[in-house]
Amino acid sequence: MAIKPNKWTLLLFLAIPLIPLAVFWIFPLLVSIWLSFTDWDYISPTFHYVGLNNYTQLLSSHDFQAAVGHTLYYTVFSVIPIIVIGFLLAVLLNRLKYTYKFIQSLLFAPWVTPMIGMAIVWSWIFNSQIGPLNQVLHALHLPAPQWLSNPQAAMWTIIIVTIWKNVGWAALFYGDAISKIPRSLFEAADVESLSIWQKITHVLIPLVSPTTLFLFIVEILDCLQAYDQITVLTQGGPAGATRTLLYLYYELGFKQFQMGSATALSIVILVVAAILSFIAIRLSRHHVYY
Amino acid sequence: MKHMERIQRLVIFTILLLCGVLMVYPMIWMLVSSVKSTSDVFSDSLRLIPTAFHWENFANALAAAPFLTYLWNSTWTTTIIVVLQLLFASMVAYALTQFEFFGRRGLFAIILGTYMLPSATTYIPSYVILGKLNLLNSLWGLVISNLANVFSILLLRQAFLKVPKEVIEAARSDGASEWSILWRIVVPMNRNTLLNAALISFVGSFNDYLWPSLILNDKHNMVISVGLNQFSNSLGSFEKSFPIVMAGTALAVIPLIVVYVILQRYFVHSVQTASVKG
Amino acid sequence: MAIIELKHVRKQYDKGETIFNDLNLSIQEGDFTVIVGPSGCGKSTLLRIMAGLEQVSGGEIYIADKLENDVPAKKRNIAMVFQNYALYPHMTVAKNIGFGLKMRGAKKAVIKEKVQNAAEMLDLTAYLDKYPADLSGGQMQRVALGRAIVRDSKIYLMDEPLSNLDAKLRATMRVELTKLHRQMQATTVYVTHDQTEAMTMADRIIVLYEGVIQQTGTADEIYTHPANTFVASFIGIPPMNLLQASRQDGEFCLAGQPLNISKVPADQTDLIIGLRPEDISPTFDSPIAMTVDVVENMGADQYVHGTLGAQPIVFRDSSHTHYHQGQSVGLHFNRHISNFYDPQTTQRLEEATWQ
Repeated sequence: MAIKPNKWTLLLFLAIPLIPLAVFWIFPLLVSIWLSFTDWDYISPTFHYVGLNNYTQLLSSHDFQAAVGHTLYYTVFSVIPIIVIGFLLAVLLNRLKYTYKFIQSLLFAPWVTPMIGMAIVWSWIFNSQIGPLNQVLHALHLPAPQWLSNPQAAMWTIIIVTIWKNVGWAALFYGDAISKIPRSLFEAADVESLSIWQKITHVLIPLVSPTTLFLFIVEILDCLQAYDQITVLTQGGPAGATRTLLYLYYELGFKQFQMGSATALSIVILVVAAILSFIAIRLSRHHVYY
Repeated sequence: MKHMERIQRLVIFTILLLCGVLMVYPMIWMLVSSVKSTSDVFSDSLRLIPTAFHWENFANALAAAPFLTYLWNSTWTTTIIVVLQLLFASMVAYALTQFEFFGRRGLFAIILGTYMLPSATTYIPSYVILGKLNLLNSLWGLVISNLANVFSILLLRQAFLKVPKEVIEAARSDGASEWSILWRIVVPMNRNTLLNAALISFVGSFNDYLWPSLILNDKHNMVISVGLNQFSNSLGSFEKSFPIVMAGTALAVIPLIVVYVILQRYFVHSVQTASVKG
Repeated sequence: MAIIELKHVRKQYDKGETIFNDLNLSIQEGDFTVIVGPSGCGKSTLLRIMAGLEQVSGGEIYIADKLENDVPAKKRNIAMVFQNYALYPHMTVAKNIGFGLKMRGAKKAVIKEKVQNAAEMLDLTAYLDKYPADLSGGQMQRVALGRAIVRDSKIYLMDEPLSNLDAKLRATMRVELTKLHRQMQATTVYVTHDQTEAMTMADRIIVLYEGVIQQTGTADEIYTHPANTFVASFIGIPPMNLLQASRQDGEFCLAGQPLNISKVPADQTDLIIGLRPEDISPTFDSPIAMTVDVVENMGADQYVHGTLGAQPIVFRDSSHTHYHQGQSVGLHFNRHISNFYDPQTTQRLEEATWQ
């Protein structure tokens, strides 16, 4: 039973802990919204209200439209493999006994490592001279692109690193979800003589759907905010081919000091994140079984 | 039948082992390359055992950039951040679960909403705020701008909701103040959840890059992620500097690998229990 | 002397659900008072109001003649034992018992001594360093009691403390609790839905139903003269027989036979006769006869269930007579105890007696 505390107790428990949240999250969000209607450039002390100018300019700019495409491409081709491969790894992992923990710890290891450091390592793995990737591809007589300087391939380096970092993490969640499914459900499926494929589609996938929803939301939010691997591997290049919305935001705000446009863009990212989360949660009402 | 099952399991194990090796290959390749000579790298970069161990790569990396300072900066800032985040998160989670007050639902909605909020939205105003506080290019600025951890609040709230209400009431009728109940009863009962939140928050803070890179630009004030990227950029992507870059990177990655190997089973459990539901 | 007094207490939840409307009761110092009622009658809420864990919406709460409406639980010197023990899982038995003292600033040596004494009293000395997870249900219950005992509080509140124990242990604990109360002489308010606990332990019983106190009295008073048909059917196993009788030619009759009941208000056309199963006995020469349906053998005696006219009836028989289904058995009523109820108000007709 919750009690009504006296005001000093309430103040003690909420006031101090919520100061950082208010000062560095809530207040900045409001300021960002306000700044997005101005033409402030960080240096000059004055600014003007420009109404929706920042937004209309941003939405009609080529850079922005390209960045939307890149972000979408990057997000779709990262999130779907992470979820599908993560699920398959977890299904396979579930069949192991004594080696389960060992394999799991190998798969999960990338999540703990710093993205900056490992992206540096990957930039050398993709190196066309000494990088192991192209040496393997050559040995197999497969096409070996100039990974980091070819616009098409460059996006895939970002995607590959993202998948590498997160797939074991997704497998961990699925592993937990699968291990919590009661054995009796699989036995019931055996009694009804379902094939392995039917078991996966009719039993496993519906029952892990809350995990899938959770991973979808978290991974989409993660991809929208991906920065470290881009700055190390391609810096948005070549020729802007890997410039996502967030990277464009960084360039606008912290290289060109167009604070108005940058904050407007950050609000757009926020709205996109909110809409995608909302859609995912709405869809889940029909397709997620708790 | 038994035989078939065993073969099947062996096949699955082999597939997964390959995947696992693929996952840790970049780390292994980094470690191996960090002790190779430049000529070794050029002759056969796939080779897993170097012809000779060139430990001086590490000395050269340490001479090129103050990695030990970076690591120390990251360690102490992250420690303070994690401790204060958990302290504050415990208090808020306790208020949300045990107190009835005007605006409780609203506060929870705001916290939940902040969880979905891309942090980029806050960077520019936060940058200005730190500037006004004279805390730009200061590690304390990094610390105070990182004290709110919405994820930990949500995680702890979920755990605190499961504390039987009779236990809290027993403590109240035992004469304990709300403050004592939190720290003597609720927190010790949920120490596993606190450990989970601490590990996740530790990895997040230690590896964070974008925000620290925006506010820190003095070499002595850099955290490891920022310092490492600057080091790597300064050496460029010339093949001959490759082993030194790998040595520097290894200095940044090894601490986390060590922590992971020691606390591996806690990590797995932490992350698994960390799916916050609204 | 009344140590706890509730006057005109009202309790209403935010959603509008009313638990009590105008509840008055007083608890006498040193008494073992049992509040008994079916689940959902508000008895736990009542206890929590006394403990200060729940606020009232109206009325006054006096503890030792002081108005304590707004005094929070931690400031009321009241010890409480919870239904599911509510032990602190991360503390040893000794720490659990001593926590209340520690929170009230007692010295270490004092805590140690008091914990030791309580442990001896409750036979827990061997378990002081164990954690709650290592204890059996009965042991956990004793720790919960110990936690209350060390507080040297004047008032102990117990919320269904035995309901999680198995039947055998419950019987043992009932005796132990009674002994403990005799030893400590502290005011105890005990809430239960189990009428056996109420009957065996209480100095005074308060029967609560739907937020209203139905009757207050000693176990004997409540058993022999239930104040209304609810109490009559709630207390006693099997419950009191409640037989409808109506006036025929000015005389109350059952199965067509006149009953000779006097001092019934003149306007009463019907009434309900309350008869304990042990106040009915089989006889050969009675015009009132029941048809036997089922016989429950309890060992020492047997409960014979059947119908009298269309009404169910049961009597207790300690002879080893063999009854069979369909058998007709003449009944004799013990006319020393008079319990008659008004079917409309369900209240006891105080004046009415057997002739």
